[in-house]
Amino acid sequence: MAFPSGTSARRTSREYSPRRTGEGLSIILGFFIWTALWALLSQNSGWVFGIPVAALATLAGYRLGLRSGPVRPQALPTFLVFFLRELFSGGVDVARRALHARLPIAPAWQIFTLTSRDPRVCLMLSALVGLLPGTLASHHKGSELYVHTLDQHRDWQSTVARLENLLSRLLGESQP
Amino acid sequence: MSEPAVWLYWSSWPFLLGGVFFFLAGTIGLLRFPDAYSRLHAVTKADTLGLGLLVLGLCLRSESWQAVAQMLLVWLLVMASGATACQLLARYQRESDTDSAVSRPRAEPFHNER
Repeated sequence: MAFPSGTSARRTSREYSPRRTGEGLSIILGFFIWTALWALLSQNSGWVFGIPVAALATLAGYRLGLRSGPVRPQALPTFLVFFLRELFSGGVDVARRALHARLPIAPAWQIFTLTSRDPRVCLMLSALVGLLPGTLASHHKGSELYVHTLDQHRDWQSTVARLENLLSRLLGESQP
Repeated sequence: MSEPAVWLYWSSWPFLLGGVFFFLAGTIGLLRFPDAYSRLHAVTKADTLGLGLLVLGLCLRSESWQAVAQMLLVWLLVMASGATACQLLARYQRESDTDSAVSRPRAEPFHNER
């Protein structure tokens, strides 16, 4: 399973190769997905504008080398249940702190050591950590994820580690 | 309106009110929290949850599956852009803080003259 994708790899040979065919298929699939998104968002109208936009989005994905890689659909339900539960918990936690009379926060920057080496897992984790309770990441460098915590005394590491584990399963990487 | 539709209409109210509550809480957090990073926590998490609850409430009132799919897609896109923008803003702020700390002249050592 693949999402809008492409690669910036340059080729000198015009010969047939399975990889080149795979790239072509992923470009077509990417264009199909952008077109489907347009159809849904525009309620099947404005195609004079929609087709060029879908083509531009596909081209941008190709030039940027965006590649989702394999995804394990069987790992999706567990990931979604965990993520939605933590999203709810994160919203409740921040609302409680914001509305509390004494403003119970103890913010600090901390480092989380990543166990995964897959760049897709690290990138997704770095973005999704911002929706977990009390955490927010700025970037990752090597195996270190820089996390801002709203309450440094709270156990946030186990939640981030669990999300990393679930992302590794979802994105097809072996268990860290 | 049929009986299931009336039931769905009334059951949507807790989700809609919940959505409004989290939007308000996020805004209060934005005003009360002491620094830029903590404020990012408030707007990202509370607003994403607030929008999700609003979408859920509106889905219960919707009369077509296409509208439901459209609203869920909007929520998904807002969540993805919110998470990404939050990370980029935190990174930018962190780099700005580091730059200003490097360029700032070092404070004179404190001597207690008493």
